[in-house]
Amino acid sequence: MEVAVQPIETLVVVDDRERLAHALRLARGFALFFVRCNVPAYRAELVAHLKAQLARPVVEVDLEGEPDAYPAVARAAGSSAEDAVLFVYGLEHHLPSGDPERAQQTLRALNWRRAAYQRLGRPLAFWLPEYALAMVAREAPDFYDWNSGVFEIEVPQPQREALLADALALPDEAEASLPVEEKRARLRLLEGLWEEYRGESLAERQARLQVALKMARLHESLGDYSQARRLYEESLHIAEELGDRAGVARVLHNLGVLAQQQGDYGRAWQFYEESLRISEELGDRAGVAQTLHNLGVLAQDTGEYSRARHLYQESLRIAEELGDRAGVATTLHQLGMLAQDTGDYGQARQFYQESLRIKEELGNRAGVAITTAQLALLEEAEGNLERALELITRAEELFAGLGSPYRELARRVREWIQRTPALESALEEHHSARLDPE
Amino acid sequence: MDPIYPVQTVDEAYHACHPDLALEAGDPRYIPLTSVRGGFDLPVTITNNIRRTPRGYFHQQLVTGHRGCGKSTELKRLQTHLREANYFAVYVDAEALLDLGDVTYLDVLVALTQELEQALRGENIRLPPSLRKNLDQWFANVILTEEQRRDVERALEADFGVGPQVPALARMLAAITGQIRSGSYRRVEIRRQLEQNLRVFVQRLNELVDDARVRLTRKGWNDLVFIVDGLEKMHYAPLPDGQSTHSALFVAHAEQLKSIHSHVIYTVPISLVFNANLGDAFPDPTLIIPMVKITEPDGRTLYEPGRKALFQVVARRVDVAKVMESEDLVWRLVEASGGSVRDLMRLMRLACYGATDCIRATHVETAIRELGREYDRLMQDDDLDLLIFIAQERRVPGNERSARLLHLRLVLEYQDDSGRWANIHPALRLSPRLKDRVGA
Repeated sequence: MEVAVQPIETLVVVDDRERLAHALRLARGFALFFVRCNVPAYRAELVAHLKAQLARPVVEVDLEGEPDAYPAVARAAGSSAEDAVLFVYGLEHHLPSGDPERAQQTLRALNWRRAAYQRLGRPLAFWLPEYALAMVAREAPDFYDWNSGVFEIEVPQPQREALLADALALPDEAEASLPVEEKRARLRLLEGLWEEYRGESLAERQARLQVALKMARLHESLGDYSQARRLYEESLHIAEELGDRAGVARVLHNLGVLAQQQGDYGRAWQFYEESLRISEELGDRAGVAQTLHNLGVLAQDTGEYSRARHLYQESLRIAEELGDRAGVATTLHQLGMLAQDTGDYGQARQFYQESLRIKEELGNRAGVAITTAQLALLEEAEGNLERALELITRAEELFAGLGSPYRELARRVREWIQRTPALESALEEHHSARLDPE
Repeated sequence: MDPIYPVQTVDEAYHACHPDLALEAGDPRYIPLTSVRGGFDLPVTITNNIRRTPRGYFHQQLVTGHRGCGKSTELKRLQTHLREANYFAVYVDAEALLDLGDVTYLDVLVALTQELEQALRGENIRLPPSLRKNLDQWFANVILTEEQRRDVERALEADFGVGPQVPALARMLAAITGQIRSGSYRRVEIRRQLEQNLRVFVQRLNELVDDARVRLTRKGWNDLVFIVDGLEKMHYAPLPDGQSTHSALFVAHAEQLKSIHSHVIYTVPISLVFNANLGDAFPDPTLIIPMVKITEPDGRTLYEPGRKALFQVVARRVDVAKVMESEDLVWRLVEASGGSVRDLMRLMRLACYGATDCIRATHVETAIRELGREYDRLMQDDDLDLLIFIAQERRVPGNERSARLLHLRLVLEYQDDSGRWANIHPALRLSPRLKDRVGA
């Protein structure tokens, strides 16, 4: 069919909010609507507005936490007025990206329970973010095909900006120590914003880059490395398109960290070197220092001690020039570990103590805990068991106060130390339990 | 109260254009689309095939078509047509009876028996108690213990409102389909037992069918025909052995589906039209209900009879002069539908939103834009090359991916005297991912 179609942009279109309100007024008995709304925070505002506008009851059903979608909807329909409209939220929680089997089950159930939904005799509006709507469309096509309208609600500019500012407000380090549930809630907001910022303007693409980076870090801190990598790669793509070289260097650095965490040293090395090259070109000394430090860790992890030492010293020099005390403390800790690895305990102790002093001044409690634990291992290796026990107990308390997973590790180290005189093999385990810095 | 067609207001137009309700035979909104769909009249063709089948043989026909192409409407007309030709046609709505997420041939056979029993009761035909008892006892012995049976009967009264006045067999069959539908773990067990006793089951079933046919003949009917609608909606899923749920039912178990002593028409998913083995299993060619032809295969030359027929589909429902700002808007919607009746109905509905006194150009353009967005969402990036190929070549390569595109109506099939051809849905030409690559 060759139809002379006008380009979408030139059409005078009716606003989807207005169309949705009209559809909800018109519907009698069963009708199926999908409302694409990426940001639940804005949805609440819109629903309140719709409720005030409609002359019929609106019943809201949230599927989050429900074991199955249909029974929850049926229950709500059963206890609702004859002329009620049902708003169904949270189907996306039954379509988890990490659990394709579960998602498939949900979609299959939708597809074959079409008739059951119809028998409820109420207009149903499923409110979904774009990605979940696309899944329903493709994987439950019979259900989707039944719709009498798909309404795409865009969050208005001011609300969107406010939500973005909110989502980006917290620094990464503070965000990394939030409880898991809180992190997931933030991810949901960011996913919504990711769908909203799809425009071609510079501002939109910059916002998109920030959102992707934030999501990547959150996934990383939750241990979802494959999601984190996907988002870093997406970020890299956007930064390249924007010609944002500093951004590219930053993302490459983060991709290096990720590869390193997953033990892919070859790729990590490539990412770091690429990042380093760009940072040097841009004269971004802080970036250079950070990447040199990580390259040092990489060299140390692969047993290239002299290369590692050289890289640390170079990083340290720049950090000192820049007055970056936190960076100095971190690299000193690392130099301590290197000395410890090569059996130079005296020098190791000096580095640790220096690092500790700065971290205490800066109030960096997580850093203090890690260096204290590392010092404990050093004392133990030298046979100063009482001193070692004292230090590890202190580190354990600090980790406990931070809610850090290292607490458990510190506890195990403490128990070994307490048992050491009887255990020759403990030494080896200490090495495998070595604490890496932040 | 039924409205008087064509309706006069926008709000009534919304209700008059329902994309999901198959029209019952005799509905004033019905427009014959046969001649603009490539010429074959489904009710006439199938009735003739059945009439020409020699005694002692059964006609087994597969029918397919895009979702929303008007299949159910045609099958309901077939039922009426067959009844007029003196065939006792039993319409089986698989969607209402079966769990389409998980169907086997056993579920289908049980559903047929159930619907036959019901239809015969409507005709005041009683099956001989001995046969009923046979099947009854067979179920009772094989499937359920007495105690389970009472549980089921109690549950039935609650769930289905089936009271004790219903003969035992119907109740039992309702119990079986009820359980098969309910998705309970019992289903697996029931199927396993049915499977083990399949030969006996089919024999008992056919004794019942044979007896019914004799009684129907005595009452003046020519014969019995089953029309099984809705099976094409069964869920598509690949199976571990390389088959799909679709081919498992229709290809691997064709013999069982054909084992019933009766003429039978099954609807099959359009994704199976490329499955060569289906042709071996069901030798009569599968009837495909195509889209309404609105242009020639070149996509440019308008085909007026098809366009006019679709215009009438709207005009029978809606008073165009009163509800639409101009007649041109209907032509615009007809073009955008690609010849799909369901999409035409849906476009009309979408155009109602936001319209107050009448549907104007802006509402029509908004509706078309929305349909474009809906189809855009169905399309995956790796579909693009195949879609461009189809847009250029006007034909569908026979592979699984094409089957999927047909299933989603991203690609539409047409037919006329010169043969069959295909094209991408016109709504796809609005997609930012395609519009520069396929031309307007």
